[in-house]
Amino acid sequence: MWIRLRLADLKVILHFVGLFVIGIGLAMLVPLVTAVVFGEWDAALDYFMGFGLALCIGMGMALGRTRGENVTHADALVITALGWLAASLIAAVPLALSGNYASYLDAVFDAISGLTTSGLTVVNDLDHMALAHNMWRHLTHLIGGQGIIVAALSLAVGLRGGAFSLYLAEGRDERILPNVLYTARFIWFVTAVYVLIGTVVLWGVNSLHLGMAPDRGLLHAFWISVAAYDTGGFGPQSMNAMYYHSYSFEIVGVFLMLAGTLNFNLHAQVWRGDRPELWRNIETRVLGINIMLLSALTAIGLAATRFLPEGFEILRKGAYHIVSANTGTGHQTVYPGQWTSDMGGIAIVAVMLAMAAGGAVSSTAGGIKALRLGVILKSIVHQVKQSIAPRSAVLKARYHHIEDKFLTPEAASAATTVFILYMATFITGGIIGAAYGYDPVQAMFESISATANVGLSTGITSSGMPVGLKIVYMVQMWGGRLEFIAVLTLIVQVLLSLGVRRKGSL
Amino acid sequence: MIRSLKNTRTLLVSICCIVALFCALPSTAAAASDTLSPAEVVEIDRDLNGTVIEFEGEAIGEALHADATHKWVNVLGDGMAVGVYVASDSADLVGTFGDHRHDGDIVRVSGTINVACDEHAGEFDVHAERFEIISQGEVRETPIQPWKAVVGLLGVAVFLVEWRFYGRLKERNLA
Repeated sequence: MWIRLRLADLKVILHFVGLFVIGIGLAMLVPLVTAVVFGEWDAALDYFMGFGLALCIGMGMALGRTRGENVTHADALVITALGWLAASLIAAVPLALSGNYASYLDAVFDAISGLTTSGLTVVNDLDHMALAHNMWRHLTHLIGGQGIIVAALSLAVGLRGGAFSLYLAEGRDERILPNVLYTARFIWFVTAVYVLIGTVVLWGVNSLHLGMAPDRGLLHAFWISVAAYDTGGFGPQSMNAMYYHSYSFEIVGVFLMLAGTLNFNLHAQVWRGDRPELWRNIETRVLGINIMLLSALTAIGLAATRFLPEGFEILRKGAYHIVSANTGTGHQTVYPGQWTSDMGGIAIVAVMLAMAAGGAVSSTAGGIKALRLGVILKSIVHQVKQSIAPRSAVLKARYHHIEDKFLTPEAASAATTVFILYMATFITGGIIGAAYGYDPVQAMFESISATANVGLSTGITSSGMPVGLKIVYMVQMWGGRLEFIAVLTLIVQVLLSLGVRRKGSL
Repeated sequence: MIRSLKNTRTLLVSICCIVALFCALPSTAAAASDTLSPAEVVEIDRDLNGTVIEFEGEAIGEALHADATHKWVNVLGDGMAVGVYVASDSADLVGTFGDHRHDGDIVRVSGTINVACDEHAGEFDVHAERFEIISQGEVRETPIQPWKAVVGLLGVAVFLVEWRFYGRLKERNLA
């Protein structure tokens, strides 16, 4: 049975989406202050206008609901899907005014990419972009990495009724602390610690080792830390991670990417003193094995092409990009075109597999996720064992994730469902890219990168690509970040509403 | 006899000089027209890896320390930038680097292209042999558009009215 939304539900949905829009408007104060501090008055006006529009539009939407109705589970899914879309549309306003985007659609593309921590970009002339706009692009990673709902929850913006449903709808699978409000605040606390560590260390690298001016060094350190920890992938310069020409920079980046891809629940366990959980957990095991195997595969591929001359360089380049892909970050130290011209087929396949696999659930990473892959693998092994066991034998499969758990058919089915949805989206995006005339391998690479919110690119993603393909990638990034269910619920509700309207009953 | 030999030698030397001049002329002309943009350098034919190329572009960001004697200058053109490994003395000649407020100095670089540099961990770079500033950078115009402030102010004003209206609706519902 399909449950249709009532008018009262729509008012509740609009109210919360409006609150998220106001939240995005308030977040624009950060780049506004940045612009004022650095005397970028043109950019300051972009953010003042964005701020005013966000408050006005957001409050207009929030007016719909003044009573304290609770949020149902279906409402939560639609609020989440629409909230992310509305947040992207309003976050794009100052970017569109910056002069660095060919159209408002391009600005929306980067806003969605930033909020979903994808990192694909269609920006023009990034190297001349205002510091305030770069601050905003990276701030979208910070807001989206933790989650717009989590941000709202941690500020306790009237989301208590149905708060846990909203939290789950945003692609988070686990409550870390008994209270969802404290869970949201814990996620921000962990993020603050890692971003602070990253910023301080990278500021040192930038200022002392690379000789950057202290203010620019600090801004770059903060932006790169946010982009790496939130597994985003934006960079303040068009050369991305290549701009810095620094081994130290890469090491700090890898540390932050790995920290960002771990489950917040696992961070909590380790911080509580349960360090063995780090290697007992099925997720970290799958992640570790995946990164090692795919790094080795990439190294073999790079060695075969003789693109890189020495063993250490092969390992460094290969491991960096596999970590970047597997964690869903997308920082790269090769030019987009080099994936096809220099890296060779095996390395591309390894990177595509790493992107698709993704990081941990309840982390800032995208992709299918290590826990689901672990559960599916356990399920396959279990099926094989059962098929060769005596008929009377009762076999139970177990896995460890924070606690010992039995592998239930429901868990295996849920993991397989999400796996199938990701695979279907990867393939669909790849076919559409190929239909636009791009090389099928490149099209598939880009499709996986968008859906798994990675941001590595072979060069298809640019301001010059077809509008239709931009929209396809935007939908993929949006659906992938919310793990499809919220977006599918929204689509079903829209279709049901249209059906109702035809019958004249709404 | 000796005189005729001298004449022959002079003639041969002259012919050689003329031939050498003719050979050199097209290559000089080619070199002049072979100045690339950084985007062309990135997409260069891989057979030219390890050869000397010449390209022009805008110095962006800042010069970054590479080692005791060299710096990195990233050079932008046609939407792509290339890292140039250049002697610190030459890098210090750049007066303006491109950023939001400046168009950077335009530099001409002649150097060895490395698609995967042995010395720098497999990076794509150019090791400069000659590095010259061909035009000085300048301040970029970033015009201020007052209409944005007007729209922003209107948005805030409407928000305040809505906020008051929302408060009244809430009070009425509570009553």
